[in-house]
Amino acid sequence: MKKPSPTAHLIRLAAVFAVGFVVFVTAKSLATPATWNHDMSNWFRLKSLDDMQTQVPAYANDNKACARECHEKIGKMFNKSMHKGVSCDSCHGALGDHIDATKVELETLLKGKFSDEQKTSLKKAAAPLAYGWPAHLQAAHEKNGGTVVPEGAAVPVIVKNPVKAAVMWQCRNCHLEMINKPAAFKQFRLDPKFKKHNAFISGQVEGQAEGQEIMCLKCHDPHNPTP
Amino acid sequence: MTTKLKGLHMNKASIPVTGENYSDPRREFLKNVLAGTAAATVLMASGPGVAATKKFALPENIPDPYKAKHHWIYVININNCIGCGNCVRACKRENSVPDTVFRTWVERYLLTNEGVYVESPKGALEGFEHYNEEIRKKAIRSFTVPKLCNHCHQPPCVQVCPVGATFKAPEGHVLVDWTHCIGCAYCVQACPYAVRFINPVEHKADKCSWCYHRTSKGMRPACVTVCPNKARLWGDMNDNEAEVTKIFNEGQWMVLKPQMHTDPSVFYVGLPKEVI
Repeated sequence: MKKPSPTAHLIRLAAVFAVGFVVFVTAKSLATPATWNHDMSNWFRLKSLDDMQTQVPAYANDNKACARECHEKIGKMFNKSMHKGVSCDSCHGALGDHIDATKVELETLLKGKFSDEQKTSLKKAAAPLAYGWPAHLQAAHEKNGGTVVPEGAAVPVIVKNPVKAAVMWQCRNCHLEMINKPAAFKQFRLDPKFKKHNAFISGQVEGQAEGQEIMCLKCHDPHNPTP
Repeated sequence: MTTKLKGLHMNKASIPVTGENYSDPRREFLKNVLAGTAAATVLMASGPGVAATKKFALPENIPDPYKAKHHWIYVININNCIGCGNCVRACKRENSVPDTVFRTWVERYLLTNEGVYVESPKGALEGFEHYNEEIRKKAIRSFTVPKLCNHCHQPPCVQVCPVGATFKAPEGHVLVDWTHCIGCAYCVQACPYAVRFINPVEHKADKCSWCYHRTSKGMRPACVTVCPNKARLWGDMNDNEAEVTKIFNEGQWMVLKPQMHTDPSVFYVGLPKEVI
């Protein structure tokens, strides 16, 4: 019988390490993305930045896209009003939703250059139904045939125009007096003693049948809200 | 003279107790440790490790398209926040955030003599309702505070990510690469501001990205766009005329949890001490 080499176990051990090292290096090179940033202070896949940029924006950046093309008249009025710093999307919802039905690319819309065909399809497109409207009001509107009871209102309100109702919910959401709002911010009170806005509480405004939709919009145009 | 010490024979005369040739092994050891420490300090100070400890200095090998052109910061003016929740709704819509989780939310604080009430019903997705009369009577002061990822310069979430899925982008965004995220939630635990969560649909770590898809194209984040009272501001610190730069230079701002030394990029104006 051949006498075993006194170094055979060391050679085997070295071979195992060598194979392990090769497997590790191979696996690492396969698993590491091509654009991997190896800087020790900041490991990441550089290409992921490009990937994230492919997400399509839903909201416009400013009011130019709306006011310049299709809503020029409102835009002019709006820019002179106390609401001029508020974005259209704040009350009307994402511009992207407005154009979803028309399949106009948002990038095109933001540039504000449309073909006549695109303008026509945009005009036909439905405005966002109920932006900012709480889910329970939306559900009540659908379930009860358009009747909802806004907070503070004494009687149910028949919502004929959900778009207007949603905008009006925004009026209340921003301007209803609350203890947490800054004192300098314009607010109205839901207080029977405060007569100026009693019509909101009773659900009636002059010239309007009880329980019908209204109310802020009866006296105020949100694009230029000074009554 | 020869002394027997526990079976060991030593010649006392051979051990120099005093004089030029005296050498205490412990003293030698301490000298070596000190020298080694000094050498290591010099090496570390001159090596790339320093860049790593400074505000995520940009790596030199980064390709041109990814190099920083801006230094974005985010300012929240508590004195202007009305708690309308427009920002929360916009964030949900813009980034398709699932119902039960929030990338940004608004907290309402009510200070009383008995303590501080804090609430954020549905993250203020539907704004806030009136306090009941009993609580209102106790009120000393009330205010709303928007919260979001602070996009820290020293983000603990990045440090703990085992796969490099969370990272600091060149222009200051702390982002999550969903291709690599394994959903281990270490970052969720590490974040001192509790702004991270596991997306219940994608099962990946999720958080505010400062709307990277918008801001990288020159647009503002959706929450800033829809804020009706300029409570949320966004801008480039490299632009001296930017509103955020002016606010920053005035120095009347605070950050959340400064004791954590995360060096946030979100600055609050008018932040009451109850929130910090």
